[in-house]
Amino acid sequence: MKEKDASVDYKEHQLILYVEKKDGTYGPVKTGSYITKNFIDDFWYKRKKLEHEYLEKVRKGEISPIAYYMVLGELTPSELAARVRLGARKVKKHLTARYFGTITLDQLKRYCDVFNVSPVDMLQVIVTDKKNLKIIEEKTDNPFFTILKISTGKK
Amino acid sequence: MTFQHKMAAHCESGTVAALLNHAGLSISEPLVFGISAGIFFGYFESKKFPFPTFVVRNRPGQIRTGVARRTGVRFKERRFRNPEKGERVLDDLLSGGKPVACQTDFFYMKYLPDHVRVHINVHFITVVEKRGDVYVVSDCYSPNLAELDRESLMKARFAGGSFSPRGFIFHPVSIPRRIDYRTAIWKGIASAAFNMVRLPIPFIGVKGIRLFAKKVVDWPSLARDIDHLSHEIMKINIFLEDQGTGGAGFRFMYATFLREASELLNDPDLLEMSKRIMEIGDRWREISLFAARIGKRRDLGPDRLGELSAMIYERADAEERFFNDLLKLSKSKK
Amino acid sequence: MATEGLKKEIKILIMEALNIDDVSPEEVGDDESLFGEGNTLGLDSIDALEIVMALQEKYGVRIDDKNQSRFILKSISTIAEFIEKNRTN
Repeated sequence: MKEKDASVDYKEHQLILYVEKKDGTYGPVKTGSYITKNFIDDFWYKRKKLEHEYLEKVRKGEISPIAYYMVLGELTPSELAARVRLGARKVKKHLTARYFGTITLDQLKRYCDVFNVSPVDMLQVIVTDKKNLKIIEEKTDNPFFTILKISTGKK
Repeated sequence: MTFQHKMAAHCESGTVAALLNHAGLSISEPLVFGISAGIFFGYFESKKFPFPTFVVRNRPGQIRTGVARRTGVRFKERRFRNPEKGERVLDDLLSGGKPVACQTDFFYMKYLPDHVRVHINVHFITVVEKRGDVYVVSDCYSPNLAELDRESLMKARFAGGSFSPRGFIFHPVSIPRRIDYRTAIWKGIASAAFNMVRLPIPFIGVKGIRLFAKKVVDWPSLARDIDHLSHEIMKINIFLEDQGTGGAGFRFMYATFLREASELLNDPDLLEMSKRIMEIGDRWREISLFAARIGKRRDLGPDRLGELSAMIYERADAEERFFNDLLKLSKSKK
Repeated sequence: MATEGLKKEIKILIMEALNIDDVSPEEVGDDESLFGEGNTLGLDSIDALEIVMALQEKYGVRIDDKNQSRFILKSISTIAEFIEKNRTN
């Protein structure tokens, strides 16, 4: 690949590609990511659509929040079980709305660590029509307790 | 000595090269990649993955062990059952001024763009320093040195799941005065070629590329809906180019390796081969661009996927010819 | 002939590496084929990779495809035989 064909102007996501340089030698060039630059909007569109679709399933009691985060996190029950260090059979139960309530706080914390959300996010989703709202979850020394800070962010 | 941060095409080869450079051995990432026979192909369907996937590099760890075995460089390696001990040992090495490579779960690398951070346990970073509660990290995919908080690094180093890191760290401890690059390079070449065209395993090497070509037309039946299918088809581009998993990217890096090897060994045959694999990479790039376009347009009917499949079969043929020739060449150079 | 102790050790190692908790080591036959349909463990290609890595780490053996990993991994017995012949720790 020629250097000029590889070069993509996109500072937000950079990578190294090996190319044929102008002088004919082969070497690394730092460039922006072609796919991120051109397709990031489509990525987020698909992501938001999936979130919405699966949130509806949680709302209707068809699946548990664990299943919601698992699908979004592109994990399988078997892989999730290995990551939270629980048995696969138990994890499959936790994916159902019916058995979600049997999860202990300790087990919940393990799921939270894998999904990188706080325990509150397993029980609640914040929906607002206000623009420019800044919502920050502040961790405390109690791993199950967070403080939600809502402010009107000035952009 | 200050650690020189630089980006690399792939985290494992980049990290190994960076540590060796820091230890005083001037070796490039392509040379590390080539000597360890990093170039590869494997098509996998597993209950561990929500969708079929392919890899274009050898098993994690083989780049490090391949370099060690073929050059005589020695690495100290450690794994930990106890996370507290794993943290202590890392901190001790760092306070002694030693940069250390860590195996991590890519998901927790907060300094990288959100959309790329998926759970994959085979990411390698170099931890350079500890400042208070924060680690200074040299990550090949980050333009600059980055900072990672202690909690994130611990989660990343001790994540469960497939290929769990278990706190794995490594750093070079001895570098031989003289390295027989000629032998190392040809052994690496022979090994890579063998893996691509001689392994009787249906999902590995050129066979794996053909399996991918065959199976991709069935992907619609595995996807939830057209958007999911689009997401997976577009991942082909990411896997081929970005994130250091890069197929087209790796073919280009391998071309650079063969080129460097041809200069080191004064071998015009290697120069020829480097041009060939560079071209093969160019056709892979066409595939990755094609996949991105049809994915975006949701143009994913049987005709279009059939086209994609045909392009991949063609790559299998080209790589079969190339690696067979490379294998023959390596035997003649004994 | 590989010892019973080694075979049991290998079964436990595999279960741990693959996070299998619904099958006990006793249920896995020594000579039953580990991969493919219809066997107790139902392992796939990614499981194979993990097993190779776990065996290499524990026994200091090198399993690469030149020494025909697919034959080594056929059953617990074949793994145990290979380990016994080649282990370095």
